[in-house]
Amino acid sequence: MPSTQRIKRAAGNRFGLPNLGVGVGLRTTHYAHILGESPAVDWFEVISENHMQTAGRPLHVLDRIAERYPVVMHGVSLSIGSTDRLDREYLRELVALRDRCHAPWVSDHLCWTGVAGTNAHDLLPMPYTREALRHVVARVKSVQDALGAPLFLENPSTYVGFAASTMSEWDFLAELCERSGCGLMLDVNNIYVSSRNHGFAIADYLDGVPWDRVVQFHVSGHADNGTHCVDTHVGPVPDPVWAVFADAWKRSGGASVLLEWDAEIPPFDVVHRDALRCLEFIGRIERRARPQAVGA
Amino acid sequence: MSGERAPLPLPLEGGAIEIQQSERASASVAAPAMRRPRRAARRASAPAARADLVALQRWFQSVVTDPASVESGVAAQARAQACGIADAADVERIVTPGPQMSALERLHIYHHAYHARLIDCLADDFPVLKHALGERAFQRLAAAVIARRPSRHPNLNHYGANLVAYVTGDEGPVPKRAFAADLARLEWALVEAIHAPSAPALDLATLQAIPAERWAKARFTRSPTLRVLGFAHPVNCYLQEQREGGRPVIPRRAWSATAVYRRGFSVWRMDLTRPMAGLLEALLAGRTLEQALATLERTVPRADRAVVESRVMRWFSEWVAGGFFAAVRA
Repeated sequence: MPSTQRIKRAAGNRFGLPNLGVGVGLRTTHYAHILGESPAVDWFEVISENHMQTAGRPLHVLDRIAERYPVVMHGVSLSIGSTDRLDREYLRELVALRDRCHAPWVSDHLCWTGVAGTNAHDLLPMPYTREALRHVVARVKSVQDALGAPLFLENPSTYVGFAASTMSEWDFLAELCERSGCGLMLDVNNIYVSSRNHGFAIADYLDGVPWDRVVQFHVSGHADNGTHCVDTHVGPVPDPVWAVFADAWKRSGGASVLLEWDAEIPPFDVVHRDALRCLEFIGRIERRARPQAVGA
Repeated sequence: MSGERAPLPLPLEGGAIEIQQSERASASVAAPAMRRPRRAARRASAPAARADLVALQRWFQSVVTDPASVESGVAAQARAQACGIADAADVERIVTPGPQMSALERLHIYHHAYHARLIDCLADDFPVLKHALGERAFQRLAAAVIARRPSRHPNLNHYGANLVAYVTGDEGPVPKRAFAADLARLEWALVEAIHAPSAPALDLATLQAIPAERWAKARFTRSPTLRVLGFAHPVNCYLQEQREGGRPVIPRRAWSATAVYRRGFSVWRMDLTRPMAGLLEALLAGRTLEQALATLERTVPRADRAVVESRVMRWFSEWVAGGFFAAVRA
């Protein structure tokens, strides 16, 4: 496997958080391989909820993996945009898990997962309005008080827009970061998917990202249905997504990279090898940036 | 050939059945080839509906979780004049069309993902029930559970409890209800055992240290990973046969009981005879060993009593080895 030592030196975030290198999302199908073989992977990201409200094997496995690797937590149920009250019990468990596995940061999504006590278990889209911004800023601050640390939010894949929206997603995220102090976990596949679904220019999005807030990248595959794309996390990362990643990497000054593969999951080495393709695209960017010899 | 079976020979070694936790992730569910919904009449630059965030989120959730369809959800919301729209054709005053899709088509992606994710979750947790009912009947059952009992927990791993509540309650039609209820309870106990907290199991050395004269008053504490279930059908036999690749038929009613427990991080099952179940349930209810053994005198015919009593020590050893008990007080 190629070394990721060189890229770990690049970390452009304002939070002083390290670039962990190239990681893989921890999935149950790989538990035995990871515990048995201790593969040379830089770090793992876990879905927080897979290890919460459980006291059995998932927690045991997490403990063993956290002894050997850096582990970052990525949640799907914080529901930061919901108009229901924040779930304080959930937050307490989230903090306890963070402390247990010594996660250097915790991320979730700019979305809501339900209202009126219901949980849709989906990352539902926000309208990008001033009202929504005020609402999310206040909730992010509450969560950060509980964490005692910045929260990192992922830009979602979305499939609808709201007529009420008065700002772009990137403007919403930038202002959210500025007003709440939170950071970004930038999913470049989601940028690609949403650009196809909404028709915006990826360059416009990247121009609007507050890069010093980006602590981590997600890369993954998606399903292209012709009329729209769906963020399925299936299959190798397609080259157009790697191209977005390369541009984003250059703008960020470097950040931790994580590959998500969530269905039809192949053997661990296949997933890890695909994650390491980021080195190829970072290399291309760096070669392009290098000054050319004149008159050669 | 009837599906009736004799109880499995006892004590049954459950066979190592290591349950994989279902994966929960942030990926979206891919929509199948989409039935193109009827397009809402496009209104040129329709003004955005005036709705606050609370109303907008309630509208959106009602539409994408509607049991029938997006169109049905939009129409119901329009009838209620939610979000200030009184006509389903006004949907684009709330959700904008995309470059290649109408607002309704875009909403359909979320509608499909919501139902598909919960159905997949139930199929993961109840694979043998799905096999027993068949794909279509299971899908209908799952859809009924989702309509009647939406998730109210932040963790999807808990959602299966809703199916158990639905099939054991009187909330709607369930095919082969009595059998389905038994099988669902067994499969859910397996999931619960995965997530139950570990506790140090009572060991033989601790037991052997108890003076003989105090044995009669000994009381045992249940391991948090243990579930003891009684059934009206031999569902553990059915489950075992299905897992071994057989094609079991749905059995006739017959009493059965099964202990579901975790040893290390593997979940096991052990069938129990009536005397075993009676003794174990008495111990788990906090009776002393003396009181629990007295249940055998009430439940076992006099002619069988000597045989049963000769087996008690063996049962007890197996329960201790299986980690059924966390502690003993004597």
